[in-house]
This record gives sequence, C-alpha cells and structure tokens, in this order.
Amino acid sequence: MDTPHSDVPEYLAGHLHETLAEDPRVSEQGICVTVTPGNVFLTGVVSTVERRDAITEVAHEVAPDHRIHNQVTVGAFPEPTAQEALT
Amino acid sequence: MIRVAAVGDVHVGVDSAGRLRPRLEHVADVADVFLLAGDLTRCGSPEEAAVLVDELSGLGVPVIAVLGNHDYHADREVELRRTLERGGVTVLEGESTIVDVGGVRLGVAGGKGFGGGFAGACGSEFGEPEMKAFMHHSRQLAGGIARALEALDTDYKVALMHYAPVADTLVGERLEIYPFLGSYLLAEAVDQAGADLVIHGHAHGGTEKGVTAGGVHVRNVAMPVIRQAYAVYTLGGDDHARIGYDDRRVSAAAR
Repeated sequence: MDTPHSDVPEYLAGHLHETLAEDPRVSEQGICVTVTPGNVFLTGVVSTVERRDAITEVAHEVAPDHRIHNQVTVGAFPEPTAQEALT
Repeated sequence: MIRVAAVGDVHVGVDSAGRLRPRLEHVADVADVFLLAGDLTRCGSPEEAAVLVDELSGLGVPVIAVLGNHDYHADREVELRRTLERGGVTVLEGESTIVDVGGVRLGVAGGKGFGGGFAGACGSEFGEPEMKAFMHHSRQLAGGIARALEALDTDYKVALMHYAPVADTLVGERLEIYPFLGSYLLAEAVDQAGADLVIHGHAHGGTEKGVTAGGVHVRNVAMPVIRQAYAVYTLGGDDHARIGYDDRRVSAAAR
C-alpha cells in the first residue's frame, strides 16, 4: 500500500522528492525540495526547459494547496577550455 | 600521451535531439577517446538511446560507455545496450576494450558499479534478503570491474564506472545518501588490479577530483559537476594546457 501523502512540511518534502524521481515526466533525482507552510521551493539543474516546466506540473499535482517556487535552472554546459594532465 | 574526454549523466531524452551534438563538435580535435560514465538516458528507453546515438554519430573517436541507474529504469537495458552498440558505442559491464593511439595502447575496463557505502559506514550481506541482494550486487559488479582491469596489459588503464569509488568526489552531496552514491569496493577493485585513472558520474552535487587509497586519480565527470560538455584528461603528458578552437585544431599553450 502506498504511503499516504502528508501536509507536514518535512514529510511532504520527502514525498515530493520521491515523486520527482519516479514520475516519468520528470525522472530527476537531484532536485532539492524545501517545504514551508504554503510554499514549495525547488532548486537544482536540468538540461531542458521542458523538464523544468514538468517539475512545476508534477509538484503542483502532489502539493495542490502550496505555491510552487520552481527555481530550477537549465544547464547550458559549454565545450571545455582546458585539459588536465594527470601525472 | 593519451587524451581522454569524458562526461557522465547526459540524461538524453526524446526531447534532447540536437542539444548535445553542437557541444561535441571538437571532441576529435582534443581527445583520442570519448568516455560516457553512465546515465546516458533519462528513463532507460531504447528510443532515448537512439537519440544519443544520433548525437554521437561521426564523432571521429572511439566512444566507450557504461550504463547508469537511469539506463535500467525502464527494465529495457538489454535493448538499450543493443541500440548503442548498433550505433557504434562500445558498452562495458565487467568488460574491457583497447584503443590504439599511434602505437600507445589504452585499456578501458568498465561497469556500472553500485552503492553500499564506504569503509566503516557501509552495508553488508546480512539480514533481510533485500539487503543481502543489494550488497551482493555491489560486490559482484566491483569484482567484474577488477577482473576486466586485471585482463588488460596496456600502456595505460582507465576504469570507467557510474557509481563513485571514493567519498572524495562526493563532497557537496548530503552525507546521508553516500551509500546510494558509491562503494569502497570499487576503489578496492581498482587498487588491486591497477589503473591510471578512474572515471565516474552519478553524484551531481559532488566534486570533480579525488584519489583512491592506493593513489589512483578519480574524476567525477557528472555534467553538473564539471559544468561543461565534457572534461579532458591527459595521461603521459607534462602539464595542464588550455584548449583553443580558433581554427578547429587544438592550440595547447602551457599555463
């Protein structure tokens, strides 16, 4: 049986973190979730705008009574400019 | 000198087409081999792997990969591996391959690896069947990497894995999740078999540089850690160098 979701901030943060990993629209394990009364703050880095937007959608479904602050950034990682010599 | 380009955790999805390739255009100018340290896909589907194959097509250097936990999520890892191999990517799981670079032989041994934790703070094959299975899996995969490394008789040896072999490269991650990020069994395997470099990913919040207890360089190349499309390491070179792309060739001037 699934664990019932809770509005207690610490437990809600845990459930959100798990859902963001398990929901196929997101599948991100590295999103940091902080919950305060009425608010959900999400931080981390993803590789596309679509994935960032999906995080908002999924978080809203899990915590519909909370305001979702999606502060996740989209990483634009450039070509390297240096190499490291290992000796 | 051998130049190794490496990145992990590219997490390619069906929404990723065309996003990675522009940043890989110069790989063949700056490296002799391109290593992918797992989490190649977002959910582990062969369709995502096909997108990655397109991104890697015609790169100009051998591409060698291990799978990561994301690549197992859809329970279609066999199809996924087949898709990659048909696309010219060498996939390792307790296996090795050799790349000849102008007469210098680079051996790459690899496997996914697994978690379990680090010496003194790790799981053991004790208790519930699930716990025994968890730690058995970790031990089994570390053993596969050790045997693959031992089989290599090359000028240089690189161990490629997804999970972390040392805690050094996890600094920045929450201490509570270290047992899910790696295992000291991987480092022990490397130190016993010998290697010049270990490449891993998985720990997005970690640190790039570490070393095993036996003195082998460890590099966490998870893309969010290196914050670039890939990192380049040289084996047998003398100094750090900057990379220039002015005329699509490397202009390496000592720092």
